[in-house]
Amino acid sequence: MPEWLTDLNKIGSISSILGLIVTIFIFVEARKIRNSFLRRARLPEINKELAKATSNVSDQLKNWGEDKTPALEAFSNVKALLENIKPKLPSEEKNKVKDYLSRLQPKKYLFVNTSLAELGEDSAWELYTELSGLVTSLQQLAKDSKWD
Amino acid sequence: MSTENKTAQLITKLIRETAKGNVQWEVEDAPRSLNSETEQSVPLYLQAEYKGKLLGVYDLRSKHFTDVDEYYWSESIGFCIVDSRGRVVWESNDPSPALLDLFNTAREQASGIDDILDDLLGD
Repeated sequence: MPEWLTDLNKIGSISSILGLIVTIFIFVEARKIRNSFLRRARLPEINKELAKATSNVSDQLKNWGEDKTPALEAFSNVKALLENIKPKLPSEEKNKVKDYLSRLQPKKYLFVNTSLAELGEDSAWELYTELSGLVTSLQQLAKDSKWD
Repeated sequence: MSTENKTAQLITKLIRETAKGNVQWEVEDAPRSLNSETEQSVPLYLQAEYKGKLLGVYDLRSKHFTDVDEYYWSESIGFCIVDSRGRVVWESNDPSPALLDLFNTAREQASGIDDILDDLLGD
């Protein structure tokens, strides 16, 4: 085989590898842009719902002594909203949400999540305090996202 | 633990104690430093005594200038500790859902809205 053909073959292989790297890079960037758009569109809406859900948690926690079911339902609503927004968040906020969700329902025997019904009153109020901080940081993220 | 975290815990504790009726909030005139000679106004100030300290939670309207003669108003909730002479010794205006919940709980209690509604609904 002539030498120039071997060289051409090598150039072709190197170009394929470079092309693959560029494709992966573009794929990652496109995902980031998609998530950024989704965040800008959805985060303000979900933040409003989360703020309402947080107030509802506080209202229901006040009546924990009489019936804890509405408070647990309020936490369950918060959990659904957080699970919805989690994939659209940047890594720092995503970890905060993951941490919160794992505190809401800690793992039992490594794999199984404990039930919300196992929450005690003091732990529920602690989770409310943490939720308030988490919602505040998501509200700040929504403001920052306007400048993305 | 940071001051921010301690404040968050105190706010939650106050919501709990207010709901149990252990903390009594009353409408008072806002301390002078919150209302006078500032670009802000406090239309509603609620105060309670807790463990010998005077605590205030208030509706805060702040003026934000976008030009020399153009401005807009924003609304937030503030939380403060005042001394016996009505001076604000510490305040926090960081937005948080818990602070808004405390303000609403305190306002509900101070207005006696529960009793008013019961009275109006009674025969």
